[in-house]
Amino acid sequence: MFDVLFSHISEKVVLTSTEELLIKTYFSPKKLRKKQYLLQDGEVCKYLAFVEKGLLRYYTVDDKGYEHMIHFAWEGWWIADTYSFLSGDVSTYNIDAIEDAELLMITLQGFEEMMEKVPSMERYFRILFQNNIISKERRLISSIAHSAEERYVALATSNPKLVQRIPQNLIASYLGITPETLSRIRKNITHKR
Amino acid sequence: MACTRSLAIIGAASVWGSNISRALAAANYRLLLMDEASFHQELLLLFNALMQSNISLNADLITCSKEASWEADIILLVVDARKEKDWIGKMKEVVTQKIIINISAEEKMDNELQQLLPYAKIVQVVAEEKADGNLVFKIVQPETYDQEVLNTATHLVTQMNV
Repeated sequence: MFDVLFSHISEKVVLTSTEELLIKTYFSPKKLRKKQYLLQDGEVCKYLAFVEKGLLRYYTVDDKGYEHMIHFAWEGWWIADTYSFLSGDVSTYNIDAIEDAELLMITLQGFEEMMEKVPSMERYFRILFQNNIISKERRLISSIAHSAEERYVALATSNPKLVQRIPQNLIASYLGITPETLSRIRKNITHKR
Repeated sequence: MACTRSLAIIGAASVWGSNISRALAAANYRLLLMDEASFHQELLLLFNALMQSNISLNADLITCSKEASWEADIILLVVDARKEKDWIGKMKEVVTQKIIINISAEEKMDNELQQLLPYAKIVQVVAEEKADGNLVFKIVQPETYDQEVLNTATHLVTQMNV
């Protein structure tokens, strides 16, 4: 149940077996079925969730009802509306399951207590937040400076399995293009090969 | 809009379990009705009755206490924990930090259950049968719980008392 989490943590910091046991007491295991929500627009994000199994999406819905994908989370990823989670303000985002999922969820109180009692976890989350800032900067630059085809190729190269798992309309939304444009891009790439 | 919370009712086929399930079917929860396989027929009858009275009800039948508790946000225990140690043992690893409403006829705290499930937030609720046959639920020693747990439990108990 905690295999993926501890494997992910061990890539960045070393934990003792006592620390692992303590960490387990802060997380609430939760199964989420496909299409079930973890967070809905208008409520406070009370949990930071780690994905042990499955696939989730994080998105917003505009006034016309169009969904805009912000990012996806699969095995080994964390997901939450960080602003809402840390501030206690209501969220304007949604998180739901694209596939049946198994999550490990922690509240803000548990999160702070855990970092106080296990300092290695503070270092682990500092590394994660640093990586997150870098990845957001890269995505911003990519959306300004790269073409839709370049963005798709970059995504497909860095996450080939994910591109197969996620429905094409959601990938198109993530890239900020229509499903028709994505279909054209995919055809072009196939012809070039 | 708030997410629909999932409620596991462990022992749903019992008399109390059925009454509670009926009361909560009118509230906005996803109900996970759990009882052992030998009570599957009773559970199925309850499920069908609930679905007929509320076609928009979001409910499922489950025969494993671990699966039900794993999927649930809140767990209602309508069984004698001392007699169902096997169920409690199976639930243990998936109820960490979850609220468990333990319903019994005795107005006292169940320290044994808290020892069996040390990281769950157990709220003791007493059920009292009135002369007209209706059940009335009340939280035992409400001053002992933290505010968020108490708010959730109070809200749920109010809905159970309708």
